Amino acid sequence: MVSRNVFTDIIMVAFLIVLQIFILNEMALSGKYIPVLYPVFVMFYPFYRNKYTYIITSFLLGLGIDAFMGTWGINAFATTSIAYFRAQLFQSSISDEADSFSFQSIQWTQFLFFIFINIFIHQLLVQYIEFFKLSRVLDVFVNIVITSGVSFVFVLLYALMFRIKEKV
Amino acid sequence: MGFLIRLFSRRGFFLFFIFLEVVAIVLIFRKNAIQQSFIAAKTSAINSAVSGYIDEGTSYLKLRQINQDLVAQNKALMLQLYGRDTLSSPTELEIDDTQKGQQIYSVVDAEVISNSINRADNYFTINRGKNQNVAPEMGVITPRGIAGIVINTTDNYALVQSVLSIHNIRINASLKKNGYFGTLTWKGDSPRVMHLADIPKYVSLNIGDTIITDNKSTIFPKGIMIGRIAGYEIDPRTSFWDISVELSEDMGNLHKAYVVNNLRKVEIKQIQDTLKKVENGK
Repeated sequence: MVSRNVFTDIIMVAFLIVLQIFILNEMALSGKYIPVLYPVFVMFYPFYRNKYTYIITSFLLGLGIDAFMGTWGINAFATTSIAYFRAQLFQSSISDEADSFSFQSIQWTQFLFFIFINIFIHQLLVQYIEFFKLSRVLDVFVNIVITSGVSFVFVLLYALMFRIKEKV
Repeated sequence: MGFLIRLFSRRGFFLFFIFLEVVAIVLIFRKNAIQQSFIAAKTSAINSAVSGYIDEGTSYLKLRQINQDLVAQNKALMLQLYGRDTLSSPTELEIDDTQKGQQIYSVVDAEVISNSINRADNYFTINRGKNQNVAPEMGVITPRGIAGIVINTTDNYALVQSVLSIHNIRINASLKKNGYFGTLTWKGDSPRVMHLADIPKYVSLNIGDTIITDNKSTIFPKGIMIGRIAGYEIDPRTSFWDISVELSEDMGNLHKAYVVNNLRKVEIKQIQDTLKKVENGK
């Protein structure tokens, strides 16, 4: 695999935006549950890379999605949040202290939990900011859980396809 | 400055994260309709709350001015309430006499401003005088009956002899049902009762019969209500009926009165004066 740098990051961001907007957004299950794949960039970004590059590309990814969906700032906010807190989420996903930040060092259950908690928090932020009404809290929460479940399947397929668990 | 550099070197990533989130939040509230309206509602609520406090504060500063305004207004209202001499301007009733019958009586409305009922000869004062064409020997009636006769006037006031006078009042009155007439006087016993004399004893009477003014007077028009028969007995000295008449007007509670003026009084007086000349000539 080509070694990653800032340019490959940006190309990947662009690719994920196109994939999300023009393919996945059209695949809405039963009309409203859209599988969200683009956070894979944030979740599976190598731990050893420059964190400033990491967080700014995450921000640009979210902003790009926003630009096409007309939800200025919402996805950018959520994506930047999970990017910043990924280290903490990773630590909380594993039971014992790991030697290094790597997916190879953790078990599959921990890996799946890490994926789900990331997607769930991301969706939680996105949808509550988007609907922004206390009167619809339960309604929106059900929506978040189902969307997270759908997205989890797609993210897992991506992880298996690119062998993330073994490589990153 | 050194503090800032240390802060950025140690916490740089966190601050950068915060910066990106702030950019996102600014975008959220600037570009999205729902969040924008939320912010607009919140800011306008804060605005109105703050300006409400400011208004309250400035209203305290204005209290002195408001107080002065109220005092001035009070003064004007009190002048209106206590400072005026009459509550209403006088009106004269005019009858259209071109069609049928000529006007015999003119009427001026008045208000009773002082009154007495506890003396042998009682008087009351009304707030109409010469300026309103009120002159002596005019009758004063009320909505419920007769009240008295004008005896003296000033420019704006008139003194009225009340019907409750032992010596000075002789009123021609008649029974409404059959027209027999007599003289109505007051004996000073009760302010509600007058006595009708000179009715022949062969006239049958009933308690409650109506007594009205007669047309043989130049003072009161014919048919003004006086009262109802409260009792009757034969006067042994004259062998006429002595009829107690309960007045329909409560003389102790006079407020509104009307001065009636017989426009043909002068003419009637002229013809009656010729009788005196004849008698004097004898």
